[in-house]
Amino acid sequence: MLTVEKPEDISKVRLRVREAAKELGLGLVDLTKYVTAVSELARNMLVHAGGGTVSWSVVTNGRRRGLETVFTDEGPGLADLELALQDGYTTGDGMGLGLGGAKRLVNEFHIETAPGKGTTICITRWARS
Amino acid sequence: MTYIAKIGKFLLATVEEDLDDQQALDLQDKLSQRLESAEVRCVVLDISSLVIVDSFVGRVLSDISRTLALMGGETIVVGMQPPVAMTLVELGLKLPGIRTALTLEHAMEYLEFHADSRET
Amino acid sequence: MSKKDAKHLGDVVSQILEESKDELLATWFQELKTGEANAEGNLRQRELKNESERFMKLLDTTLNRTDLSTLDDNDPTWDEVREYLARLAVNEAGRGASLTETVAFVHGLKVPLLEALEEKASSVSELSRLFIEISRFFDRLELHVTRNFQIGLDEIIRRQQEELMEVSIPVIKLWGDILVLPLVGVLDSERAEAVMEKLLFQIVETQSRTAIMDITGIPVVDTQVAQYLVKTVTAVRLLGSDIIISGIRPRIAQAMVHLGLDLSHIKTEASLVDAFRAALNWSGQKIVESET
Repeated sequence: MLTVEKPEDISKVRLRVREAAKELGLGLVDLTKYVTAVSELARNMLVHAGGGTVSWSVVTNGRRRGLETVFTDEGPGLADLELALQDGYTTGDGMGLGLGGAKRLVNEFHIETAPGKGTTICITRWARS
Repeated sequence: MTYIAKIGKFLLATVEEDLDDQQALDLQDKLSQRLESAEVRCVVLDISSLVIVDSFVGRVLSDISRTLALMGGETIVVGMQPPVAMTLVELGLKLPGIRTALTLEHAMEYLEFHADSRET
Repeated sequence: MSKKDAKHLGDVVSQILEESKDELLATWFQELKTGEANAEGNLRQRELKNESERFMKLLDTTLNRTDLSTLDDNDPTWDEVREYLARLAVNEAGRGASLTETVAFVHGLKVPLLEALEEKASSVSELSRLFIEISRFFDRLELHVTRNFQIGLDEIIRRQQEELMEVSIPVIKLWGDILVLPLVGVLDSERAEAVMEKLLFQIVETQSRTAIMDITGIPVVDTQVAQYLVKTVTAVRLLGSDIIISGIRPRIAQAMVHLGLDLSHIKTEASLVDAFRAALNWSGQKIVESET
């Protein structure tokens, strides 16, 4: 588990999750896509919520093993979820991309958010056996 | 971490495995400075070791290209890894203003041809 | 059934398995030979004999430690039996046996066992209880076999699909640094991804400046396929190479225009030959007729 408070932390999260992904045996393409999504979401968290925490773990769905990463922040939350998931949508200074992009890079994408209630995003990539 | 070396008429900047935000911005500064001091006109950015290119790094690469272009220089990004290309395409991340080449050799060929035609 | 009764039944079955082992095996084997287990050929028959002995021994040892009713409770004492059957099922699936044959193997023991039990029962009510329990027991065993057989099949199919995917994406180095990728068949999302991956890696490995993707062999080009093509073109260009799409037949061209797709920024040619010529042109070469 890591805390993201400043820009340098994003790189740290990338490296740690990358290690975990390699250990799990994710293929190069899958790994690259997943870690990039992690980077984008960590950045989003920093930009929109001022920071938050990232934790990751190996999970299983009975048939396959995967890497799950959870992003939790106590930021303002998203008022319009659908809008945020649209392609190319960004608020503010154009840093980071809409959530839609990150969603396409992973196998599972879950988000819980509400105005004033913070946001939790959970993404998973399954390893091909 | 990035290593910058002068090779003939151009700068070769080799980017290592991961580039955090500050390192990316520093790179942009360093390159613009060296171009300003009129040492060289061309920059080759070798990203073959760079495993992850997220939207920030992508933006900085674009910015470097466009900044140097405004200063009369030329930038070529070489060695992009296939997984990175696939991810960028999936993200829909456009990298405006960036010229790419497969290898250093390809980049040098282009620069020689281009530099010659620019001088006339 | 009470715990006590269950234990008693387990003991009775265990006793039969030990006392009448040879008769049971013989009758079971007879069932297998004449029934659905497909016991043709000496090799197969020897295999079946061996397996039936092993299975019976496993049943016996397990029943010495627990009783029939605990099979469904995920009782670890039954693990050996479960694993044995799982492995058997997966192997049978692997060698192309049918589900019927595989289940018939286990099923073949049911009747011989029931017949042996008939003699041991002390009353009609005890006999009917025995029959019910044994039936239930075998039902669970057969279900377990079926489930694992399916798992075995799924694994085989998955592996075959992977191999097919690998073989069906031929990237050919044509001339100089020109790569050709003739695509044939349906392009679904998984295949499109695999194609892009293979093409990009090949381009980097061969340092090819130009790639030609020929889609003559793709029967349907809908919006989805067009999107894959656009994605692949973008990715190739990102690497620093260029790409031509060839094999766009009149029908396909019309369909694309009709769909409102703007592919004006993508280089295309009608035929592979034209694409080749164009690629050579870029590298400052051309095809010339020889003097002789």
